[in-house]
Amino acid sequence: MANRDDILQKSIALLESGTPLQDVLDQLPPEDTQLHELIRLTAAIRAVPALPAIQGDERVYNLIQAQARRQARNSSRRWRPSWPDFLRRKQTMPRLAIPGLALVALTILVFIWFMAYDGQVQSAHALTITSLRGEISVTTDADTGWQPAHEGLPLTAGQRLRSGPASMASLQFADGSRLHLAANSELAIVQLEQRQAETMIVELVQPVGQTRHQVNPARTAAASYLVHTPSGSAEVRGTTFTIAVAADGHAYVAVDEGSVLVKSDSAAVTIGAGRATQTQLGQAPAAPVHYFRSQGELLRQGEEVWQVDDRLIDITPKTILNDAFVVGDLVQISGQVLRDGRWQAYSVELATDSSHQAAFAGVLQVMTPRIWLVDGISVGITAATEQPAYLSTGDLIRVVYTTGSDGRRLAQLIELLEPADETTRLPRPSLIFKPDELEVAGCQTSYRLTGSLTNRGDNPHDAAADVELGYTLVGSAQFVEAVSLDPAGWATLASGDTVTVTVQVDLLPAWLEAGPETELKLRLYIVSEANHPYQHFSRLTMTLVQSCAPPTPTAAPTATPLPTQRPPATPAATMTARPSPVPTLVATATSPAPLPSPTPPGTDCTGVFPHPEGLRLAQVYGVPYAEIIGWFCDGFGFGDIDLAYGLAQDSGAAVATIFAMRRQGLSWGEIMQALGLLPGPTPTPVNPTTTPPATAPPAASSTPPPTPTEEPDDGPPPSIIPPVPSMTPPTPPPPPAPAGGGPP
Amino acid sequence: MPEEVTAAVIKRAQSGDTAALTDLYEHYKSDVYRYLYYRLGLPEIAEDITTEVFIRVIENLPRYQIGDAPFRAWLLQITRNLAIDTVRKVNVRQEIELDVNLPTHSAGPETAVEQILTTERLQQALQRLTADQCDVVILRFLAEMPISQVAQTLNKSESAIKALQARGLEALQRILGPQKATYG
Repeated sequence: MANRDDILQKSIALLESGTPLQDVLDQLPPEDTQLHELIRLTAAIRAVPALPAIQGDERVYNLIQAQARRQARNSSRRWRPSWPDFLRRKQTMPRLAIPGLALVALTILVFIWFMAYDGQVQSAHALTITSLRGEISVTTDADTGWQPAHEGLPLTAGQRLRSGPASMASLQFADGSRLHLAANSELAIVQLEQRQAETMIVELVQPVGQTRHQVNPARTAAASYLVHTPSGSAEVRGTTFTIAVAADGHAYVAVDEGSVLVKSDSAAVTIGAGRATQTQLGQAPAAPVHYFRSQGELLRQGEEVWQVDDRLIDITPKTILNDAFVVGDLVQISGQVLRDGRWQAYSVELATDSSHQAAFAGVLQVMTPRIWLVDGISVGITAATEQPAYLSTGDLIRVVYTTGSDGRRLAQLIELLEPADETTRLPRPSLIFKPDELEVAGCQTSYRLTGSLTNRGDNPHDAAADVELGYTLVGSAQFVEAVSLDPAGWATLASGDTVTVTVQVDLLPAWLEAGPETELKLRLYIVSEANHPYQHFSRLTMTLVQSCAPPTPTAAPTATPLPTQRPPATPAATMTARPSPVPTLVATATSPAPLPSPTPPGTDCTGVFPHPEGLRLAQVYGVPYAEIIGWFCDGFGFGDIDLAYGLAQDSGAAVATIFAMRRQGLSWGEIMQALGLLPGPTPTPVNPTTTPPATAPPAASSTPPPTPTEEPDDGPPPSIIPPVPSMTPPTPPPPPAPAGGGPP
Repeated sequence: MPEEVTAAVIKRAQSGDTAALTDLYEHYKSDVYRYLYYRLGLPEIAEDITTEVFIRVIENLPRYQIGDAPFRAWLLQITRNLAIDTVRKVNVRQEIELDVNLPTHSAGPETAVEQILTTERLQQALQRLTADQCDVVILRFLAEMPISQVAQTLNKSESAIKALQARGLEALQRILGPQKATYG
């Protein structure tokens, strides 16, 4: 295929060089008519008339003028922050802080003295560059311009420091506090004083880029450490935190230790360890979210998803890329842990060392003997894991882990974090699709379905803002021509509001020939919402079932339809809300429950092939990749899958049995109890002798999926089954609150 | 291939020279608009986003490193980022009302009717490609970028661009059918 791509490109290059179309066509293999058509099409596209010229926009011309004025100002004055309001406040700051001209003169003398003895008395400086890499430059004013910085260079108030691509600098304050400047970043020192040995007063401005601060605890009341960004400021008294600022001024503040007071637009929020917030110009700080940092090799760079070691990380237009990254780079990515277990990047920088490690904060959701689930992410626990003595589900923890060569993700350190500071009451909207499943059977290529979404916030304060809907297609997506949502979002949804959304699905004619019972699932979800710290997790699953009559068989005219065959096609589709799952305890399966439908490569529901998490779990448990992805596409998150296989290994139960229990609404605790892994009043018998091994043998892994005709489509809802051997319904609805890594 | 402005103009623009900044805007605004027109499919949005692109370009210009990548590639990278952002925000691709007169051509050549390709037909057909295919077709044939620059702009390898180019053209050919040879 690559060869054909090259032939096509060579022919296109001929066209581009001015060779007449016919001459190019004559050089092509005459039998390859498609290649001829592609070249004709290329010529046609190149010949499409030019678009009419657009008029220049006054906003751009005004900005050009403003830019010129700004440059003119900068060339005649010392640099100051470019955002006007902050500029006015900060201009007087150094003068207010320094009591008298004598001290100014003394400062100058000290500065000259430091310059003369550069590198010999570093510890006496308030701030010194201790190490650097790449292009680091410093400037005092526009007249002298940017000068290369060097190790040991002392820095003073009024100076600016900037880093070029693939560069970094480490700075140390006199009290031992440290500051790391990442690539393509800039920092201005507004105030830098050491009043006594233990009192540092630091005020910095970070217009762009990323910095990390390790501030020693303040020992006197006068000590302060303040960092301004265009959209807010961060104030600390002893902590470790990171600030990343984008070119448009929006910024992220992430806290590793201690707490940081983040102020923006007359509002403030305290961010505790393991959490992060976002500030935007003219807006209050966002509600705190759980925070991760992952360092490893950049293995894949998609438009919206990057892979670092074994983790997929969402890259958004808001992600601050501090350098030009290529596959193979060692990078460090910081960002937010979304509620479904996905990681969304705030910023990316080149790693400063070669370690491969990740750390993230989250709520401890499930504890099994060997695997814990934290914010939907599974991690292995071993005797070597360093952890506090008493932890229980619901605790906010930070996990530091590495991934072994066998694919196992092992927690090295687990820390208990302080619960969130609730001094600031933030809106807590709760958006729920109800019903959460709809099914339509029909024989047509156009469907219109309506769902409803309710904000079940507790009080009027809990309004949802800037709600944006999205969807994913699971299975049979190849038949979809277009999907549209009306509306695709709402500016606000007050507490108690219920709104409707119409989903128009247009299918290709091939859908009508796909065969009866072919299913297409469309999952509607909330892409973003401004007033909620995490992603809303409610989903509306719409299932389209093709119910066209099969073609009349000619060879066997006497054949009769199977009893479970769907009725012939009707002009109108029928829509039903699926019943909620009925909790049913399944103790053991007399025969292996059916494995999920094998998913052909390149078409699975993950959107990424192969999915690294699927590969990792397949390696860890020695099962085919398709088996793992089959469960995932069936609605289980990767964290759930890891737990299920882990419990299957521990108990000897079939993994399908565990998934069946999960489907029926059992909690992981109930499942462990049923499997005899926890002491409990009524442990449910599990018969390992009649239960297949945890990891299905090859024969089982190739078990064909249940044929649609085996499933009564319009039968009664599943009844409550006593704890006796039972067969799991082949495709019951997914659990109401799936945890971890599932498709949105 | 369209003419690039000189490094001297870019340097002057980076230092805030009004004339140079205006030159950059005048020189490249049609390139940006054309990309957005075909990528988003909505001319009125394309014009607004063109302005936003240049606001972002002017603000970020001091950070552009001459010699790292051609200015046009850097500019269209910013444009593409904004286009992706816009698609995500307004679900442009989802809301496009596909022209009922633009069926997928699955009929054999004996039944296909040759048609002249217009900007409107091409724009509508491009909305049916994947985002990457759409980018490659626009940048290669409408922005007239060489493979190497498209690879730089999209941060992909040249072989990946060649493959996307082939798949994109094949998809377009299925959508548009045979083309009338009124060119070349």
